[in-house]
Amino acid sequence: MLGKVWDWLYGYLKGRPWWGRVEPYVMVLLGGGAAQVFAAEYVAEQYGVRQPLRQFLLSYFSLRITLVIAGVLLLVALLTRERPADATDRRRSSWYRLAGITAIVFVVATGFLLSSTHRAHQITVRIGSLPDGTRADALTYIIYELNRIQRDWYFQIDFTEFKPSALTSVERKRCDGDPQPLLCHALIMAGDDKPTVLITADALQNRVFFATHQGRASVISTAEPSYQPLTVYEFLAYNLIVQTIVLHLDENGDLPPQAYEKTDVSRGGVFQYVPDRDSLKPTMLAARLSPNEEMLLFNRFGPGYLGTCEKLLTLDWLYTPAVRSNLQKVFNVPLTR
Amino acid sequence: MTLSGRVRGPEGRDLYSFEISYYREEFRIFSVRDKYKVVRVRVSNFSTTPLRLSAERDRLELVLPDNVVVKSLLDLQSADGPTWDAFDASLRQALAYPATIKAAPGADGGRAGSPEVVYLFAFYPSDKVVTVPLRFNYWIDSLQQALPIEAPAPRGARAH
Repeated sequence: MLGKVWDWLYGYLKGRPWWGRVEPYVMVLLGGGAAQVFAAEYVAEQYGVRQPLRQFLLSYFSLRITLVIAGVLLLVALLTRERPADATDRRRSSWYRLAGITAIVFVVATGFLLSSTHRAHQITVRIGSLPDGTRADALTYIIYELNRIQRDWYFQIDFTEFKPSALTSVERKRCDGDPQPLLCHALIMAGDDKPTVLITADALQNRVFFATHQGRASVISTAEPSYQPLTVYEFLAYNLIVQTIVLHLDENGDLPPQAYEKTDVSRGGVFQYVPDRDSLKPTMLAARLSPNEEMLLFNRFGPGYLGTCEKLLTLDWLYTPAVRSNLQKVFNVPLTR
Repeated sequence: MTLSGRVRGPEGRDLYSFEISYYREEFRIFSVRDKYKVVRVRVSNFSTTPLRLSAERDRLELVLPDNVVVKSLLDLQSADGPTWDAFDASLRQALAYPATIKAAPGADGGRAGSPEVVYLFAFYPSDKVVTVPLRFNYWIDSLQQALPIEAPAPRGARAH
C-alpha cells in the first residue's frame, strides 16, 4: 500500500518541470531523515538508551547528522550550479567551487569538534575510615567489579592511610575552619588532576548526611545509618556511582548549577539534595536519571557513558548471582535485596 | 637496643605488641633539625578489632635514668608547624600519627593470621633527652591503659 503511494507520488513529481532541480535536495533530506531514525535506533539497541524524539533531536548525535545534511545540501547546491561557458570564467568558477567545498568541510569539521563528547577520567577512591564490622576488602572487591563491568572510566583505590595530621599546619588550620573539614581535606588530596572520592565513617557537617561535593572532590559518609536495612556496601556502591557522575560533570564545568542545592521538593533525582535523611532509601531503590540528566550525560560523554550510568545506578550488577556469591562466600557479606 | 611491651587478651594471647629499637650511639648523635629526637615504634595488632589511636589523647612518655620523664610530641603539626611544614608530603604522611591500626588481616573471617603492623613516630625535644632512654610508658586512650615498653628481663632473672 505504502509502496503504491510512493510510486504514484514519485511518478507525479517526475512529471513536474521543476523536479529535476529539486530532486537531489529532496533525496538528501530523505536520506538525512533516515539517518536520524537509524541513529536513534542504533543508540537504543547498542547502548540501551531510548530517548524521546525531542530529546534525541536536541542531542549532539542528531546535531552532527543535521550538520552533515546541511553540508551535503550546500555541496549539492554548489556542484549542481551551471558552469559558465567562457574558459576564464570557468577557471574562476572552479576556484570558487574549491573554496566553497573547503569552507563547507571546514565548518562541518569544526561543528563536529565543538560537539564532541568528553572522555570520563579515572576516579581515585580513598578509604578514610569505615564503620566497625565493615570490611575494606569487600568494598575493594565491589569497586573492582565496577571496573570490570564497564570501560567508560576506572576507579583506582589509593591505599595510603588517611591521616588528617599529615597536612601542613596551614592546610590543617584552613580545613578546621572550613564548613566541611573532610571535604577540604579531600580537595587537598585531589590536587589539580586527581578527582577523588573520600569514604569516611565520620559525620559530615551542617545537616549534610550522606555525601558532599566540590570541584574535584567528593566525600561519602557512612555516619548516618538511615540507609539501613540496606547494607553499607549497597549504600557506598550507589553513592560512589553518583559522586563519580558528579565529579565527571564538574571536571568539565557541566554540573548543573542547581545540583546539590537544598530543595524540599524532590522527584527522586540523583543530583537532588533533600535535607531529610529518610529520602535516600527511596532514591536508591528507584534510582534513575531524569530526562534532563540523561540529555546532559548523553551530550557530554556520549551514549555509552549514559548507558553505563543507567545500568550501574540500579545496582542490578551488585545483585547478580556471581557478585552476590563472592560477597557471601569469600567476605561473609550478605546483601539485603 | 630493643624495648618491647604487649597487651594480652583474656585468653593470654597477644592483642597488641609494641617494639622500639635503636642503637645507643645513633640515638645520642641523631636529631631532626637539632630540635627533636625521633623514636620509631613498631605496633602489631593481632586482634580482630582495629586499634583506635589519638594524637591528642595518647601519650608516649620517655623515661630517662633517675626517672626523668620526657613527654612526647605525637602531633608535631600542632606543636611545631614550621618544622612540620618543612617536610615534604610523603614524609609527613609517613611521620603523622595514625588514627587507627586495622584489625589483623583475615580477622573478619575469624581466621586471624599474621598481625597488622604499623610503624609510628614520636618526637622528643633534643635538649631534654640528654641520654639514652631506659623505657617508655605508652598511654593509649582508647584502651584506657598504660603500657610499659621496656627491655626484657635478663634470662634467668627471677622475681624476688
